[in-house]
Amino acid sequence: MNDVMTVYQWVFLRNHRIMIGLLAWAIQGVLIMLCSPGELTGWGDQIDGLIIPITQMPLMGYAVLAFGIGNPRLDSTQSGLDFFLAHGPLPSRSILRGVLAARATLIGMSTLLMAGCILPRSSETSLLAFPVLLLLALSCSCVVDALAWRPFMESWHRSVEGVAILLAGFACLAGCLVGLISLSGITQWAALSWGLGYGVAGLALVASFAGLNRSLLLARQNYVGMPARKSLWLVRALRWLSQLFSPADEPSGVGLNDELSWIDKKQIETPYLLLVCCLFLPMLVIVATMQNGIVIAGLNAFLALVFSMSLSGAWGSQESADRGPLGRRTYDLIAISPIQLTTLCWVKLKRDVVRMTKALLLINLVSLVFLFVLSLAGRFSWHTLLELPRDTLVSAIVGGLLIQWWIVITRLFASTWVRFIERDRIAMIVVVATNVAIFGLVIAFIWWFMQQSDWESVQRGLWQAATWIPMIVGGLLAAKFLVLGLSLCLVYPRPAWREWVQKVTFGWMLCVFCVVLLARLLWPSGLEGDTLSRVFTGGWVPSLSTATLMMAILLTPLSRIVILPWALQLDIRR
Amino acid sequence: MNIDRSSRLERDSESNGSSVGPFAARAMGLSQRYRNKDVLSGINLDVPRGCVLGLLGLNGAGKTTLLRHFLGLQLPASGRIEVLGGDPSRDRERVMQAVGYMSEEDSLPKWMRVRDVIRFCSRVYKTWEEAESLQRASAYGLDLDQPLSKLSKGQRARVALLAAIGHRPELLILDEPGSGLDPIARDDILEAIVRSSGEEGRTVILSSHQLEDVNRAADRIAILADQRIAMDLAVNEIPERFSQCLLAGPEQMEPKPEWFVDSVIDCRKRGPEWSVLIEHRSGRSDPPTTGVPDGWHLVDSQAASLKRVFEAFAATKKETADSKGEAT
Repeated sequence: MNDVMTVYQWVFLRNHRIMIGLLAWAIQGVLIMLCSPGELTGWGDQIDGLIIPITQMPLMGYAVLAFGIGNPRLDSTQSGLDFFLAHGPLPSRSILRGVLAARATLIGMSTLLMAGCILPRSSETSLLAFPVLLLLALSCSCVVDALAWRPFMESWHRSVEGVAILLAGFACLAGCLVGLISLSGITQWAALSWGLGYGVAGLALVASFAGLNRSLLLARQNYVGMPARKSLWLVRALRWLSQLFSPADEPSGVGLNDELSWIDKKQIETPYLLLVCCLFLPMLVIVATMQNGIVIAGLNAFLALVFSMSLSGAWGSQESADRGPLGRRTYDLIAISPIQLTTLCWVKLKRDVVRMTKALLLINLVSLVFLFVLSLAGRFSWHTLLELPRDTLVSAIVGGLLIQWWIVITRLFASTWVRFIERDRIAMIVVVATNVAIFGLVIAFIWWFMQQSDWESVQRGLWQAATWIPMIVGGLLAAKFLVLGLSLCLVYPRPAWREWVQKVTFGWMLCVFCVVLLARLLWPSGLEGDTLSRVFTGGWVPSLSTATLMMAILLTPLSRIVILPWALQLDIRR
Repeated sequence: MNIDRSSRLERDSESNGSSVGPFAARAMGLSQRYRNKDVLSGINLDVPRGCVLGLLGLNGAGKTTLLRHFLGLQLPASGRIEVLGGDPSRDRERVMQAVGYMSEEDSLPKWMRVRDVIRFCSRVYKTWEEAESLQRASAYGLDLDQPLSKLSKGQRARVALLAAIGHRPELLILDEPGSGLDPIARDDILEAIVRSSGEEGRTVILSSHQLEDVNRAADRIAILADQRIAMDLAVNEIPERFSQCLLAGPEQMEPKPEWFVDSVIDCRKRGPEWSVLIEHRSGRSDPPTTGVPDGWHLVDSQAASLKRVFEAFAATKKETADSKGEAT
C-alpha cells in the first residue's frame, strides 16, 4: 500500500469512534433543518441560528482541532506527533500528504453538511462562500497540527505561541472582514472582494502548510524538545513572567497538607493565568486603536472567548496534569503511601477552590479594565451604572460576584468525581449523557416553539408550564436524595470515610444556609413578592427564602462530593 | 541474629500497629480478570516473615498484577490478600506505613528534586529516618537539589530505592528494580536488599528477570505461569531436588519418561542433544537413568540451575507445546 494511504488510514483509525458520533450528530442537524417547518412560523431565522451551530460546529471544531495524529501536552516541550510516525521509516512528505488528505476529507464533509443546512433556507448565501470556509478551516487545522507537532525549548512556549497565533489570526481576519465589507458595497467590486477572500484563504493555507512542514522536520530531529539556546528578550521576559505565575519551590508550611497542596500545584503547571494576560494585553491595544464597528463587535465575541477560554483553561489545566506511567492521576508515590484518601480529597478540593477563585478574580479584573478602556475610547458610559441607587448597585455587584463564584465552584465540584475516577469511558458517558439531556431539552423546546402560531400562545404555554415548577422541583429533590442514599451506601460502610461524610454534609448545609442568607440580604426589597408570584402561578407561591432554599439544595452538589474518596480509590486501584 | 531479628520485628510492629504472624504477605485463592481474560487464577502464596522471595515469570505472567494486589492497588476478583496481618485495600493507612515499594517504571514525579522526595516521605511515614536517608543519598552520590528529570536512570532508581527503604518498612516490594540499569546501580539495589533482609530482618518480595540477581539475593523462589504459582521452593532446595541431564540420540526421537528413575518435568532440544529436567521426590539418584536404549547416551548430569528450572516452569502450556512442535 502506498505510504500516503497508510497515513490516511492511520488518521481515520485513530479517531474513528468520536468522528462517527459527531458525523451522526451533524447529519441529524441537516435532517432537522430539512424537515422543520421553520419558514411557516416566522421564527425560522432564530431557530436556524441555534440548530446550525449546535449540530454542525462540534464536527467542524473536531475536524480542525483534534482530528489528527498529534497528542500534545500543553505544558510539555516534547513534540505531540505520534511517536511511531515520528521515528518510523515513512517519508515526511507522505506523512504531510496523508494527514492533510484526511483532514481535508473530514473538513470537506463538515462543510458539505453545513451547506446542506444553510442553502435550503437561505437563498442569499453564495455558493462561493463554502470553498473559502473549507480553505480557512484547512489552514487552521494545519496551524493546530504545526503547534502540536513542534517541539519547544520551554514547556510554556506552546501555549504562548498558540495565543500569539490566535491573536494574529484574529487581527488578519478582522482586517480582511473590514476590507470585504467596504468592497461589497460597490457592485462592480463584488468579484474583487471574492478574489480577495480566496487569495487570503489560499495564502493562509500555503503559510500554514509551510509551518506544518517545518514542525514535522523539527519533530523528527528533536522529538523530546529543542536544544537550549540564547533566547530573544521577549522570550526572556515571558519566562520571567511564567516564573511569577509558577508555584513556589518549597511548600508553604511544614504539614502534610501543605506538602500535598504544593505537589498538586506543581502537578498542574500550565500557567493559564499567564495565558489570560497574554490574550488580554494585545486586545486592549486593538480596542484602543481600532475604530471600525465590526471589529469592535468581533472583539466583543473575542472577549466572550477569553472568558470561556480562561475558565476552561482552569478546568482543562486539571486535565493536562502530569500522570503516572499507568495513566493514574495520583502519583505512585502518593498512591502507595499511607495517606488517608479523605486527606487527599480535602487538599484537592481546597486547591480547586483557590485556583478557580483566582481565575474568576482575574476575569473580573480583565472585564473592569476592558470597560475602562472602552469608556476612554468613548464606547461605554459609566453614567448608566452610577445613576442606579447606591444599595441596588452594591447589591448587584456583590450578588453578581457571589453568584458567579458559587455557580463556578459548585459546577467544578459537581464534575470533580469524574476527574478523580480518571476513566475515559466514564467521562465520555457522563459528557454524552449530560449533553444529550441538555440538547434534548433544547430541541424539544425548539420544536414546541416552532409549532406556536403567535406570541400570545407562546406566553400562555410558558405560564402554563410554570404551574409545573413545584412538581418538577419536588421530583428533582426526591431524585437528589435518592442518589444521595446510593452514594452513602458506597461510602458510609467504610469507618475511615464516615467523618468525611459528616464534614461534607455539614459544609453543604452551611453553604445552602449562606446562599439563603445572602439572597435575603442582597435581594432588592419590594421585588420579592412580585417576581415570585409571576414565576409560581399555580396557586402556591413560596417565600423568597423557600425558593432560594430549594434552588440552593438542588444546585449545590452533595452526593457527588460524598463519593470523592471512593472515586479517588478507583483511580488508585487502576 | 535470629533473636535480634524477631525483637526488631516486634518493635516495628508495635510502632506501626501491625500484628505479628508467621507470614508478611499472603495470597489466598487470589483471582483476577481483565476483559474476560484470566490474569491470575487461584493464586496461593505465603511469604514468610524475614524471607527474600524471588518472584519469577515470563513477561505478562501476572507478576506486577500480583504485586499490585499486595500494595492494595487492585481489588481481587475473588480470594483474599493479607499483608502484615491486614487487608491492604481496606486497612491501607496502617498497612502501607510498614510497606516500601519500588516499581519497574520511573514512577517518581520527574519535576521533584531529591530533597523534595525525602521531605515528602519524612512527612508521610512515621518511622522515616531523615538523617540516615540523607547519608544514604550522599553515599549514592545524589545531589539533593537536582530535579529527577536531570538525573540518569540509575540515579533515579537509587532515589526510588531511598524512598522505598527510608522508613525501614517491614515488607519491601521491588518490581523489576534492576530493569535497564547499569551493573553498579543493580549492585547497589541488591546490596540494599541483602543487607536489609540480613541485618534488619525485613521481608522482601523481589520480582525480576535477572536470574543471577534473584539467585544471589532470594531465600525462596516462586514462579508464575499460566496464571498460577507453578513452583514455590527454597532456593537451596533447587539443586537437591532438580537435576538436568543432557542426552544424545537419533534425530526425530524424543527421550521417554520411563528411561529415568525420577519424574521428568521438562524435556527440550538443545542443538543435537536433549536437555531433560528431572525432579527427585526422595533424594537424588545416581545414575539418573534406568537404562537408555541403544543409540542413546547420557552426555552429562548435574544439579539443575535456576535458569533451567525457570525455563521448565515458567513456560506456559502453549509455549511448551510450540517448542515440542518445533523440535519434532
